[in-house]
Amino acid sequence: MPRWFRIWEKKRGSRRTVSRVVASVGETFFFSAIFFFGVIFTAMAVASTVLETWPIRTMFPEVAYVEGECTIQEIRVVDLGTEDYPRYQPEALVLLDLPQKHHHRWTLRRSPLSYSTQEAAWDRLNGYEPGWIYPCWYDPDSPGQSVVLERTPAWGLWVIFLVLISFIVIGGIGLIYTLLLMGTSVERRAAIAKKAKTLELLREAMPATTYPSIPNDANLTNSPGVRLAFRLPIEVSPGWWLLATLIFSLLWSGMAGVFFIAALGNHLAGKPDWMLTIISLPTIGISLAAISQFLREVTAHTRVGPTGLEISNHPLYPGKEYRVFVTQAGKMKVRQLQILLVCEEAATFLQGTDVRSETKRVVEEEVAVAKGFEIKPGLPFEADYQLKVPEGCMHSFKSDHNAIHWKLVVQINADHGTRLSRSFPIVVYPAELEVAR
Amino acid sequence: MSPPPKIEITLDRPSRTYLPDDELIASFEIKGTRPSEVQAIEASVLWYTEGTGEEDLATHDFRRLLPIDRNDADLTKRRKFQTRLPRSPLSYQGLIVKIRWAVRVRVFMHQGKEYMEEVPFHLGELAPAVPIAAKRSSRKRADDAA
Repeated sequence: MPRWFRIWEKKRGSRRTVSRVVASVGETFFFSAIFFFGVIFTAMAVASTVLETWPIRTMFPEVAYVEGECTIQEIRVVDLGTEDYPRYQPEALVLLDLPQKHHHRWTLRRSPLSYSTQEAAWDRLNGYEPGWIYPCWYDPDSPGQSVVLERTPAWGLWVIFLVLISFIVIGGIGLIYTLLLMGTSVERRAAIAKKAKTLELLREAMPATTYPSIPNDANLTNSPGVRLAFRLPIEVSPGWWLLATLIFSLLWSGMAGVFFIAALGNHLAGKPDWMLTIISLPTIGISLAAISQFLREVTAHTRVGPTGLEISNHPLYPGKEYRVFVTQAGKMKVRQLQILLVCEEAATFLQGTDVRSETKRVVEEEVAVAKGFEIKPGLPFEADYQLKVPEGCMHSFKSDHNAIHWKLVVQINADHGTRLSRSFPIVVYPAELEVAR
Repeated sequence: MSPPPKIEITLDRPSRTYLPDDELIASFEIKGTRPSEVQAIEASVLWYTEGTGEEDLATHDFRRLLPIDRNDADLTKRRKFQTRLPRSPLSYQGLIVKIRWAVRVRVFMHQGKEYMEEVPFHLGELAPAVPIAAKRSSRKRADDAA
């Protein structure tokens, strides 16, 4: 049966149906539109500011104001509010003496200020004395209606310029980038990127990597072990998971509490809101489950102490044998402690606007298993095991969207339903490389 | 409308299997077009990923030939190049991640059209990945048989 051809589905690699020409033209139009929008409106804004015309003059009238001198004749505080909402506005009566005409106006700033108390409003007028001359600003076209003693900073105008310039920058960079890449093959782009990386490495006086696309193991070998050469770092600290569970339970419980109190209040007042009650019940249920999960995690982590894993050598090579030393602290009766050697493929892809990732386990070898023992405080479980990396397996690998991760996983199954899994990343090199290294 | 040119790529090993640090010798020739119609040629030794994730691609060796690069200016005639292969990544046939190595030749024509041909090869001799469930059942079968 022919498979339905999904036009809008994202396809990768050779299954891609996208036209590179159409994509390039589309990108060029998109960035050109942003760039020219920015250029045109910045030019308009600059011209409007310099020439003091619409629209900047309408939005920010003070850009056209000129400086003059005014004599303060009187100061006052006007009561504008109501009994419930008292507001007091400070004002000064100024005389603007121009050659053509004298102008009188009660003013202070273009946008009037008001305060909740008379004292605060009078305080605002401190420094303004009747009979004294002060600098003032006014619109030459209508001095009588516009004179002010204080100018308002035009922050909004700067924001507008910033936004318009960002359009020019984003559009310009995007346009240059698109034009540079137009007609450039993916291989050439990759070669340019590789060259750029090499230059960066040279600049930092670091040798180029001998093992391309294999993750660096520097972070895995910088901690010496007590028994063996290296103490491996844990993949994700259990503390972070515990903190995430705590934050979720707190937030959800807070929300559930608000719902519960509101619903209960309505019931007690004799006006039950059944919709709110129905919504509250599952919310409270989830909240209780989250709290219970958090408490279970806390109990498990209190009982199961830190896990330590040391290894005799690093990186690892397929077919070779190594020693691992495991320590497990805590206070518990362990049914089973198992160490697994795991290799996982990981892929990241875009689905719509979401970034999704998928992992698939391709190797899962049991390194060691210990059953039926008890760990007491101050007496951790300690054991030395032999580990063999399977022959002919794939090495560690990392690129932008794909990876092959190797790790040692310690799984603990203890009494009271305690089950924990802790991962320790390792790096495996190709077998042929050992001699060269 | 003229037919598309034929790009012929040949590797020095018919098995197309190489080991890390091996020397790869490839040659290519463009047939079915006039030299004057070819604007540029790009030849690369590269790896790319296939599978569930977005495609990643990296070139190990990349060269771009232009008619002005040489006195003869005929880019269509057979050309040979060699490169020492890197130590990683090895060719890999995973379950959701696959790594392919190839020699790729891209021809850019004066009319703006471009044509591409590639010849895959193996770097290393890794066996394809097997799902864990299948591995377990085959192990069980072997144990039962024993």
